Amino acid sequence: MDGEAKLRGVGDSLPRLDAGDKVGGRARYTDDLFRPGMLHAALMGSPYPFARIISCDTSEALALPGVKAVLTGADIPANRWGGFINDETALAIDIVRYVGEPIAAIAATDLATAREALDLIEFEFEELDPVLTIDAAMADGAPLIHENFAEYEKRPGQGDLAPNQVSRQSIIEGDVEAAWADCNVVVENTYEVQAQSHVYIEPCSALAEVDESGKVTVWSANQSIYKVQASLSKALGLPMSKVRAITPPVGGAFGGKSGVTVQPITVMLAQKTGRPVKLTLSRTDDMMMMRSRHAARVRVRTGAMADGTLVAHELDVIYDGGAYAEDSAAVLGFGLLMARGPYNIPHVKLTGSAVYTNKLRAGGFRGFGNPQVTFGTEQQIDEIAVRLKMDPIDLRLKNALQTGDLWVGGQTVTSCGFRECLEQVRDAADWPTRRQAPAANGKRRGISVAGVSHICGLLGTSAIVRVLEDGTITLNTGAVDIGQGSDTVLAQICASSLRLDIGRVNLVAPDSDASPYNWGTGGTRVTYMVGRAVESAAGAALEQIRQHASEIFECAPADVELRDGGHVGIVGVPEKELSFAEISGRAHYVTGGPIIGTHALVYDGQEFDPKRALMDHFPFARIGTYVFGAQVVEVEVDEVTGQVEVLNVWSAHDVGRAINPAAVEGQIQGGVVQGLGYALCEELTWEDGQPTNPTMMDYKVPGALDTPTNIHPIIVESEEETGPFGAKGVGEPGLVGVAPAVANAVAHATGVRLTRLPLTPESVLRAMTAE
Amino acid sequence: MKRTLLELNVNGELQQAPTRPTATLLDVLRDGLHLTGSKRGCDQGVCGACTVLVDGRPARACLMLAVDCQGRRVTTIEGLNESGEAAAVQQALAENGAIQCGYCTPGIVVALVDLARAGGGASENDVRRSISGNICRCSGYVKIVEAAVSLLGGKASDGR
Amino acid sequence: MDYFRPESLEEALGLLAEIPDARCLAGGQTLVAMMNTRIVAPPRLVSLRDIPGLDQIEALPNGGLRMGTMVTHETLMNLSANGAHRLLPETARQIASPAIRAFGTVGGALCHADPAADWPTALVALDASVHVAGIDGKRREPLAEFLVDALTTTLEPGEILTHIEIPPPGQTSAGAYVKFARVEGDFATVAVAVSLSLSGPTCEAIRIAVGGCSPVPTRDDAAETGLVSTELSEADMQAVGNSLATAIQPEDDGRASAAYRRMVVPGLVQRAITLAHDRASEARI
Repeated sequence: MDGEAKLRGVGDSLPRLDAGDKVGGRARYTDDLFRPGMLHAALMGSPYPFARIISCDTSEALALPGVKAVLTGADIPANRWGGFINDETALAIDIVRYVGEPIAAIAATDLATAREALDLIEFEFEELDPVLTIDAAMADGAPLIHENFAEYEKRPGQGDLAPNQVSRQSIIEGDVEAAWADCNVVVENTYEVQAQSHVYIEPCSALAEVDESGKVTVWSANQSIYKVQASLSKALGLPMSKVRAITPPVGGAFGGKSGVTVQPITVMLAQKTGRPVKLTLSRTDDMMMMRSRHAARVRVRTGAMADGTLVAHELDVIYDGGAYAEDSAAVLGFGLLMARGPYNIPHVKLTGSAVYTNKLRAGGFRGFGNPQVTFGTEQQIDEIAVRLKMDPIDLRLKNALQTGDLWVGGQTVTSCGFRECLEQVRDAADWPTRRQAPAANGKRRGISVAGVSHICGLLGTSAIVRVLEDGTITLNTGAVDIGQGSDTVLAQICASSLRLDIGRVNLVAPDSDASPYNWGTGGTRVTYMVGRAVESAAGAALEQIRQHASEIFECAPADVELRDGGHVGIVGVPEKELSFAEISGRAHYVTGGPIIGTHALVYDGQEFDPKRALMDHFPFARIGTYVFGAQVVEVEVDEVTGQVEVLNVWSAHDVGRAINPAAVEGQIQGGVVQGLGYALCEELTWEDGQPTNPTMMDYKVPGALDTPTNIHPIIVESEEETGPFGAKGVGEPGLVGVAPAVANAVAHATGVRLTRLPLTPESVLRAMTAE
Repeated sequence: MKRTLLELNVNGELQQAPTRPTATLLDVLRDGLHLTGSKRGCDQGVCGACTVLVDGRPARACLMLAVDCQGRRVTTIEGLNESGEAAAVQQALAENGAIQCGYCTPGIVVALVDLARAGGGASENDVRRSISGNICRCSGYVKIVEAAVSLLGGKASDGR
Repeated sequence: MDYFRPESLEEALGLLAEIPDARCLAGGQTLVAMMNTRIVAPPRLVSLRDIPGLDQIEALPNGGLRMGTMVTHETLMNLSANGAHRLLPETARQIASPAIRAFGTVGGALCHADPAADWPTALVALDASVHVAGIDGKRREPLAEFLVDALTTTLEPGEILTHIEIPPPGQTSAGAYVKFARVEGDFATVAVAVSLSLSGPTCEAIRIAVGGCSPVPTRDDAAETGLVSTELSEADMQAVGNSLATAIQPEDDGRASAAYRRMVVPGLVQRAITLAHDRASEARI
């Protein structure tokens, strides 16, 4: 016996597996790696939003001592890749489409030399008329941002697209046009949301080397080794088996590292020089070259009956995709799927598009299209409550989805803690009292709420559980922990599945040469999807252990029971016991072979129902397992400056089951603060296509003194039957409802409703004084 | 570019590194001495991921010219790992779930060690002020602050 | 680039004189950031940190203060001061963050002359003057005259700002620094520094400087004079706030629009005067 008093596993707030390395500065991120003979690389960005490259002279740069390679669009393969539309190349070829778009890359013996050499490259451009807004992109006769769009390889099912359109989709249920007549109150408004920069503290980074056979190895900050491998294969024209992607610890990602970033050009430099090359972006390069959250314009109309029953909801969104399509089609589709929200509304018409503009590409960012639409939808629910003189929480409760109700599109919601979330934030916030609380002198005070929904299930994943000779476990999933703590959570699921202490589970770092397939970290999916794979793979290993035990005990496998601490025994016979070590030793050396449990799955929830909903060009065959939340924000608005100070946030989330409660709370708190940045101060801005604030000095992310001391996470457990130990996910939802909850609270405080993010002091003050 | 041999007192040892005259302390620590615990996040002194101690005071390694650090005592997270204050701060952060991606963490540890060395207990506001120049994009700061207050605290939150 | 760390002021002045674009290195918290982004590339840096005395604060016999150019924000944050001089720690604690405050210097901030920086505003309100040394001698001038324009001072190539001098605080005096910024520690969108002294219940003297809204801190002599001998009523404060809102020359920038600054200046001026007045009144009792 091991004498393990209490097993630490599912349900315990265990410290991260890598906490010790991280607090000691010993975790080695990509930029912390050095290889023998390694070169350092830097990128040059386009100075123009839209221009034709006429000529380029790199001779002076090449002549600078220490420079080993200079690449421009003319030197690289014209292989294009992308999410739904293959429109990207590693460097701009012939045309530049946004300021900052990489146009040249240099590898040199040190970074300062590489940067110095960039100044020596001479480009000649012919400027073109840039398309800088969604209206300009959709205008008749607008310049085409991708003139060869028709020739790009695309995923099937994109439909006919208008010029500069990346995607067009709709979801229609019921008869919204006819339903307005049944409504006693209808609110309608147009909301505008801004581009938000991810500002993961680790800028994008890759280190690449090429061996004699041409096989490429890339260490990089990413959210999926397999997406990196697939995109590199496309970019380089290499078979996937010649590309090895490894992920060292990642310094935050939030969606910004979900596709390839600097990996393709880094590999091309390594191929060119025959030496290892490391490329880490400066903060400004990262902010100008990589991606942002989609800016969007959202027109929303919602109608209800006098008793508060929601009847009709119409939403049209246009996402600004920037210069490359990336994940825009998926962001649009997902935004539409979330646009009704967690309410039973019979008549729904959700339409939208994403368009190209000559700005930084937009991509996935925590919430993935959902915060944009929720900003509009959740404000309208609030407005209806005001118009009907109903309490905003009561109105939401009246219309709230419950387990067994249908999501828009017709899927049955298998577990729904939405009502409980609303009730819990109401109680925790002492809602009736605070709704009436008086303001301090010179301030106005308000409190309100937003409902939240999201998904946690999509795409494919797998896991391998190996029982080592001594009975300890090696778990391999290919899942990338981007900081949210999935490694620890997956180890907890594995440990509890085998009733082992977590200290006996070793986790394999993601390596496409070694790890089984995992689509990636995104969509709040890792705990739910990978957790399922881990639980089942552990179960498969356990079956083998059971078989061995039954052979040794000479009993039926069904009579073998799993006991704590890596033991099995015969049911009802306490003294009959074998350790995993004894069994694994037998498997390795005597009979059966090493014990390896595996499991692979693709999201297998219910499909959308075409008889119920008209879903036009919707990009997902299956996506779902819904998660819910409710967020209450209390604010004080300064009458002199218009500044919104957030006093309290209560954020309740239905996570199915909390595998690691502290990690769940950390996700909620972190999401809330990112949401406060989105709501109040963060906005990437451009003037004539030139970014005006691509530095952390100019683009302000909230610091420790800018955030409320009182962020109260509330965990609601609805026990999802299909989830590992009942768990769902929590990565994204903490951000989703923050901006509308803040806007609703500001409206409660001031009587003024703001429809454009962020709610800067200036915009609030102007609205208050125009009141 | 011209390089000179620079001699720096880092973590109690005199260390030599060939250095460009315009190199920052962060350049030398990371690329010259491979002390990669100090992270590069912005190169403008805003993010705080490169925070080290110079002559015992918290400093932005990205805003200190390496050449101007000659004759000063530089202590990085690697050097602090030996100290009792750091061990206590590190343990508090790890056990309170205050670590996520970890990229800001070494800088936060340095800032909190400075606070711990000041002695006399720390309120929530003291803690927040001490890490006000360390941007964490993951945690929302709550668990970091709770960890530090649990270690150093006593006084209740005293507003801003 | 070459680098020197002279041990005397004379040596430093000599080194600066040798190369036209040579620059002093004080705390480096702005200069190095600019070098990192290659906005500037000085051919020579002359570090001032080994010159004795430049990091000292000296109490003058008349009650005034004389501080060396290398005094850090942190040192001023921890300064124990009297009356209106308490504006110094109050301002210092609102600058940037601990690590910047530990190395950034008051002299460096004044020489950089960023219109949104804190020291120009606070020190103009305190009626500070600066001591400048050059190879041909020394001079002293009011800070308000030293600051010529955004990022521009009267400092000639080869000169060094060596000391900042602040007159004694009034008998019953107080200051207040009210800063409005996008986030804590950011440069000011609008800042108001007030230094006043009372005689009984009435205002004996007052200086009000508004920062972040003009190329250099804005004062309004006439409006200040109008407050003297009043009891600083709300109407008095409103009037001076309105006149300062007219006097500023704001521009639209990434922090706010010009119009917004004009909207908030009156209210913030009133807040700052009220705060200083309350503090001085408390001191009086």
